[in-house]
Amino acid sequence: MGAGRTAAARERQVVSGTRSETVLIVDDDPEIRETLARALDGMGYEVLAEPTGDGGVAAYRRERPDVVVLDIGLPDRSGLDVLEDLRQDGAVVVLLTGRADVPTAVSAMQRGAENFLTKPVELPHLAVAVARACEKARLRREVRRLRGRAYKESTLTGTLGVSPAMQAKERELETIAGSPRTTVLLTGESGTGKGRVAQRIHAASPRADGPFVEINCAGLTAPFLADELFGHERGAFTDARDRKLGLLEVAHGGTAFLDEIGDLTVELQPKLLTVLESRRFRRLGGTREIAADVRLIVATNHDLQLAVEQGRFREDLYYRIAVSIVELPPVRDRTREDRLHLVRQVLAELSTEIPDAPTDLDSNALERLLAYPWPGNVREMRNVLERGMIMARTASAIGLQHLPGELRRRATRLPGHRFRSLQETTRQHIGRVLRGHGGNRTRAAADLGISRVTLIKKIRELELD
Amino acid sequence: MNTYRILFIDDDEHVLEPVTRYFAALGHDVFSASSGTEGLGLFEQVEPHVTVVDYSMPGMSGLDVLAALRRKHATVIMLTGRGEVATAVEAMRLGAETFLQKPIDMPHLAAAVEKAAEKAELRRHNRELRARLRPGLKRRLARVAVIVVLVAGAIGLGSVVGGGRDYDRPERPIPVPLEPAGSVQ
Repeated sequence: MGAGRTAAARERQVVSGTRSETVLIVDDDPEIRETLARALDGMGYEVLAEPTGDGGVAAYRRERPDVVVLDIGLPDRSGLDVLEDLRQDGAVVVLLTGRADVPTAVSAMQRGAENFLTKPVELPHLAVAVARACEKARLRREVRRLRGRAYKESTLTGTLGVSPAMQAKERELETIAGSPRTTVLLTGESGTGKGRVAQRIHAASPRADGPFVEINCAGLTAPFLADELFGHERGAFTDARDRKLGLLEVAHGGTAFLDEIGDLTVELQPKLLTVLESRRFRRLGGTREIAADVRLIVATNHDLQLAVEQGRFREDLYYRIAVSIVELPPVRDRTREDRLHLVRQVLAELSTEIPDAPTDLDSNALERLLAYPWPGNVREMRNVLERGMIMARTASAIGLQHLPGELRRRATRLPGHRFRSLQETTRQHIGRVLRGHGGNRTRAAADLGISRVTLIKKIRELELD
Repeated sequence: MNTYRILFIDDDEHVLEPVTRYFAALGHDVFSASSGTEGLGLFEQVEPHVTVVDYSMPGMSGLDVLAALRRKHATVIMLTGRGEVATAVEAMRLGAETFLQKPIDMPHLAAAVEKAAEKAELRRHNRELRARLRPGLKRRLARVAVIVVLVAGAIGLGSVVGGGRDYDRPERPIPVPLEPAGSVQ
């Protein structure tokens, strides 16, 4: 029997183009299993059947059927217990009970069962009850899908920028967001907005209704981090007076964001690998395995591949998390239009936090902001603009005088509104490169892409020595 | 627990009264009607999440009420007498979420209403999201405009290509009936 499907059902599926719905029967009585399976199969459902509670839960996790028909009196585990497990995994459950069990069945409904049927089961009743339950499963699935699409349309566009390259990256993020179990690795210098992108991926994903939890792997000792991630049972260690849920448990149905994954200590790496491979984990001091329906987004500003080569990061874990890699470029490498977009975006965000401050920049200040290399990336830009808005509170626009020293000083070197001449720019740039190489002309020439002789000639021409 | 708007339609005051009291005590907004016609009118006004309908009522029958409600995409629970499983199943086939047999077990009805309300909410979300995701009016107008321009362009181009050469076209003979209408020999 198992996953068998009648020819008629298959034909119907081909004709209508929709997948047939799957029903899992969990009942220890082989005769009932057989009868129900045959009946449902005849109605065009795909049918799975399991005799035990544990087998049923395992089959549910494996096959994700639309509806589970669950006998409340199973030999291995209490039916309510099995129901609890199934509900945690999001199953739609129809219960089978004996006549005397109606109060139990009602309390099961209060705990999340969709409906119940009393034995002996009348097949027409089973048919309509399963159909109504399937309808709910389908509605849930559809709402999740539509919500994912709606969030995508509203939240990811314009997250990164307006240049074709950034928009291509946004589309890539949308695709990733749409597949709710794919692990994502975000790389980029510190301050490039990895945390923000992680949030956007979550918000644009079908998991948007679930929780988003964030943890920074740097700065926490291994035992402390393990406790945060996995939680503990009561009495797991001296201070563990109560059970504590780990973040992976809190994030169930949602997204967990692990920042600075490169700093994850060697002893925790295999544990995380296990979670990624089995989607299950144990609380510290716990014996029961807990399902973790969680999407992981991890971020790092280190070169993880280098860390793998140096043996600081497990190779198998690297390949597990490097499923989709998205690199966020530093602000200085972004195009002018993207930087302009970013400045506007940050100002717009800040305007909600600092309501009565100007959100306009005068042209000098804007030029400085666009030309500045932003070593601290978006975070630094946010700080600079926040300060600028506060300083310019009484002014109509943020000007150079409202910007911090390192931006202003460069500005004062510029004479008024006149653009720099090519010669001036060349002079400044060569000077900068030379200083960067500590005056070493051979290396500076290599960076500049000219011969050493040409460089020496230019130094003399531009009076750089 | 969530609170919902619930409408009860039953001709029996002995059912309506305790049910209304019970669900009001749970914190729901409860409305009641003692006939199908009255119930349908009230449904329009209060747009309940869930409507609970008695199967056997004088005048408009429970099934008629169910059919009318389902046309309005209502989420319905049926109440039937003991042993009327076949008719109750028929009601479910016609779109009722589930049924309960009288006498009513209140916790059971409360649980069933909760489940049905969940589904009603899913239906509503589904509808709203679909409406939101439909292409906007502007985009639809733009699409129409493009078609209009293309058709106008085609007509204009046609008159340029084919225009002014009417003298080449053979004149179509005017059809003349062979026999004058109505003349019978």
